[in-house]
Amino acid sequence: MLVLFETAAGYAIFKVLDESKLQEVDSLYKEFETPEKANKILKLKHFEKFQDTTEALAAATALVEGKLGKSLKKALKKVVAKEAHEQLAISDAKLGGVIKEKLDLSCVHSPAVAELMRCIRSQMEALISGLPPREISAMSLGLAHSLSRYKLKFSPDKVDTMIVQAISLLDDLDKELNNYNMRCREWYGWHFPELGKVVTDNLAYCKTVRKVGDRTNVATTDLSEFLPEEIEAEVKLAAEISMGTEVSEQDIGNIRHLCDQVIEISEYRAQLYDYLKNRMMAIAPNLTVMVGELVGARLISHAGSLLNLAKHPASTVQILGAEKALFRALKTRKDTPKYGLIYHASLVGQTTAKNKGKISRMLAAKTALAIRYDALGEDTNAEMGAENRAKLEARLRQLEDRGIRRISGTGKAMAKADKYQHKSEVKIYDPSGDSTIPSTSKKRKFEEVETSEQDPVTPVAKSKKPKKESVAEEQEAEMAAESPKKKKKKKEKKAEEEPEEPEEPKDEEEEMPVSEPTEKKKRKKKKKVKEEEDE
Amino acid sequence: MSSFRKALKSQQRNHHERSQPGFRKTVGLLEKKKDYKLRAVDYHKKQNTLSALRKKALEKNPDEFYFKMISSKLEDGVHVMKKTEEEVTEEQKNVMRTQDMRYVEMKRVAEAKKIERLKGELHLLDAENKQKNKHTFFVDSNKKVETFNLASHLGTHPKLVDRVYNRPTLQTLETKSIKGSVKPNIINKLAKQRKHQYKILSQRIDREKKMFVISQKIQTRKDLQDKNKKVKVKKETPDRAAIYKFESKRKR
Amino acid sequence: MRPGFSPRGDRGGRGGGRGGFRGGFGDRGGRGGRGGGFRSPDGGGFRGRGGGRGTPRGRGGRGGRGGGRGGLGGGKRVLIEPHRHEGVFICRGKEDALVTKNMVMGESVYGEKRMSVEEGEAKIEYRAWNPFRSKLAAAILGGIDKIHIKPGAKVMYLGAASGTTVSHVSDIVGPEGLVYAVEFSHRSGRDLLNVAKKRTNIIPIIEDARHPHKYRMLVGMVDVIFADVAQPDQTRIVALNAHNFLKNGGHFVISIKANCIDSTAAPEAVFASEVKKMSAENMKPQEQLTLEPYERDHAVVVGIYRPPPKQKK
Repeated sequence: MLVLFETAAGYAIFKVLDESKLQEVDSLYKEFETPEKANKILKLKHFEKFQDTTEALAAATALVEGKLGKSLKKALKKVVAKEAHEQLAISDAKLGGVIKEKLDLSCVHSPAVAELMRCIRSQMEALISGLPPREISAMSLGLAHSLSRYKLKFSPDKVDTMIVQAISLLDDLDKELNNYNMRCREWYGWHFPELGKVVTDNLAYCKTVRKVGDRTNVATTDLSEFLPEEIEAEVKLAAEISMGTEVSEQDIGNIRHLCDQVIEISEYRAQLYDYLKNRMMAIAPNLTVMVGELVGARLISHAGSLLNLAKHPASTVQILGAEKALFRALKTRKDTPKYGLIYHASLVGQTTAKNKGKISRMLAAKTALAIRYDALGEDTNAEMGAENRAKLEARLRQLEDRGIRRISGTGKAMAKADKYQHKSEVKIYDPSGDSTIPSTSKKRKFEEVETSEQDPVTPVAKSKKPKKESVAEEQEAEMAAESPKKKKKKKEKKAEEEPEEPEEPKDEEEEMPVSEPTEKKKRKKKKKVKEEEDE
Repeated sequence: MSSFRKALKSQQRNHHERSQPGFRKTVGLLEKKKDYKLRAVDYHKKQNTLSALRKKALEKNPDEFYFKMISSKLEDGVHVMKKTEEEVTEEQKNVMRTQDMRYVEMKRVAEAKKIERLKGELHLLDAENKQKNKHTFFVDSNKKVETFNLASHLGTHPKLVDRVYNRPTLQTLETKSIKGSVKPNIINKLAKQRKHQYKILSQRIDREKKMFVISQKIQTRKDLQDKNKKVKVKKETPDRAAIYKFESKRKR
Repeated sequence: MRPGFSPRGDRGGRGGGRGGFRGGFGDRGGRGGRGGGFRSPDGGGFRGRGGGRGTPRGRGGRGGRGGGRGGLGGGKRVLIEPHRHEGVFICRGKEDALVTKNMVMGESVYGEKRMSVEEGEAKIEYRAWNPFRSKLAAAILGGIDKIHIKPGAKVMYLGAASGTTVSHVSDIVGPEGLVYAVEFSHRSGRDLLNVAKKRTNIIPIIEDARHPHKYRMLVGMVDVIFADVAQPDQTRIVALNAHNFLKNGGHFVISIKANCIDSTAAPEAVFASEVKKMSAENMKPQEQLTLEPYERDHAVVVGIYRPPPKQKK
């Protein structure tokens, strides 16, 4: 009878030398008390060693599922080739069935076999020669770790430690970069102080300094790659009338080295930021969609890990980062802060100050859901985050609209609506009461012209009023298009509009009569006089 | 002589008051002077009061002013105090209760965390009235049960048997030693510190319980603002908030 | 005992009667009641070597009244007393704790307190073992006779959870021993894997303990099986694993939660029934210990598997 024994190092196939001993199940252990006695009962026929950890892992997973792995098949085939008639003792009945099916090898599993397996296991090192015990334990440790990782679906690109480290490094780099920039400006400012005032961007400054070196070279160097035209011209101008002192080549060399470092670090920072964005999208796509990469990464690093962050309730997510203010408020029984790190999310940034609190709460609630989905969900895609974000944006718009409507009288939106509504009576300043001197004929004519012009337009505009009111919102977009149009009109000669005016009521677009009287209001009297003159 | 008269009176029979005759019993009590006196005094007192009030009314100063007139007004001829605004409105009270509850909860959670941390270090090794546990040994025969000696079974010194948390075997006692300093004064100092730590732990546990009771009581007061019908089930005690049973109504 | 908390009395006039605290700290349904009912212990320590004849329980505070903590000097703040069980120690200082020697210096596994003692040149670090969290620690402090987990032993730990007690067992068995930690849950398995990364004598197995044949490839013969699975059929689970992996004459330590086996029966009856089940599987129980005051209605049973046949005189 053959015995199949699986170890972490490989498959061992033994041959039972003395089958009679197997009958006495209870005293079988006595035969395995010493290595010599054990070797008398069993002999190692074949040991199929695993070549590497992947093969071992495949074999282990096949064993767990009760299937026939490749290496096992290979080992058994060798056996079948030599001794097909022998029975094979195995530890797992299910596996036995599979072997019988595939390789036509009869398997046996019984309490006697179980006892035999126990005994083999107790004398494993002695029976499997050529395998030191340390190696077996090392292999089983490695195999256990890889098997567990496989079971837990451990994927290396879902490790959130990367995010925590990356964001800390980003902060460190920023600090260092700032230091170096300030140092560079101060140092080079000794030689060319005006450059610091002209070029405000740090990276452009360093690139300039690196390219130029001594300020005498400024006129000859071409700085158009990193500086816009005007600034380049200013630099060239400033270089000629600079009040800085001369510096030696060595000093310039050192400053140049510093600039090199700064440029390198800036580039690396950009690269790191890209890396962070990629990692965030891979690890927590929904969180990224909701609040953005940077804010999401800060939240994760603040909580320690994504799983820790998922354990926080939404109210905590809202004020994560404002702990000092929170505890101060709780202790002195004041109002607690409304937002922490979430303040920097784009959704919160684009609302008015009044609504920031509301938005921050709503955003925190949806974000908490997104975080939990990312941390604990099985498959991760950004659908849920996108949906939630759309919902939030819709609600945000609702909030803003409600806010606008509530403001009455002097509110912007109401005023806007007013602008585009035609008033039945346009009140103009009556200058006739100004002076006792009889008013000039010109002015009177001007008034007459005004009132006469109003009449044909007024009745038409009135009828269209109710329609206009209802579609006022839809036409907001069109009005927006109108405003640049209006501005252009102002630049152009107004004479063009005059022949249009009688045509406007017939025009399909309804804004023209609406816009026209408002334009009239806006026009200064000078231009009105011009029109009159044109007429 | 007066004593003679008194002596004669001692033999006298009790003189009774004459009451209303039988045929006039329907008209009531026969009034004597003493009854009349009561009635008259009462009547005159009232009349005097009324006339005094009438005089006062005639002498009334139309420009009179008392400071209580500011906070009272006349309703149907009766002076009633005007209702002043409460210093604190219901809404404000609610907010204050919420702030109080948050503060108390914050303190309670802080205490609970500290208790957990202390429990990780103080394992009640020597504590005196901790609950005794049951330790059962299984032996092979009845005879062994009778001749069972705990000290010999554990392989330790008899005096150490009560020291449940650590009964070193005789072999351990002979071969191993204590690490750290073994000077008596240091041992005593450490013992004092330990005792102090245990005291702090018990104080913290008490404090946490108190915080819990307070926050329950504040919450109950908040719940009472509800306009729904409620019935008091249990009274408030120093250890427990009152329990109310509310009418089950769907919240809109 | 005077209450240590002073009420914020400066808010008079507000609604709500927040008067003084009229004493009496009742028990709140078992919460926090565990540690609440004790009196602080008296002083005294364990006198060293040549004796052990009785522990003087003098009242603390005899010596060193005004000395304070500063007088102790660095590294002398704790006293490490060897325990009956090898590999376990008792730390007495400001703490009063059961500790094990830390195999990975400078790191806490689950935020527990660490104490270090200078032994000549070398610094040895110990980690506190919380008996309120760990059943094995509670059993040790409850006076169990033998745990059979000693340096160099091979232990199979069923129900390893997040690896908190497993780390202490790993400390006890040391680098020569092995701990096979079996845990089925994936969440806890992740934490267990992290613990096993740092300690090379822990072999993590993320499998159901009910099917020992599934992880037969990874496990050799073990000396002790410790089971803390909290399942109604836990005796059967331990028996299956014992039949497969526990050597003859090996021992088992099982933690029984009465509520988990049968929540309606009395705890003593539950423990007795479990002991009977064990005897049926050739597992001979040797002692049983309840875990008060650290846990309620819990017991630990220690026994021997396939005891060697006694030589008749």
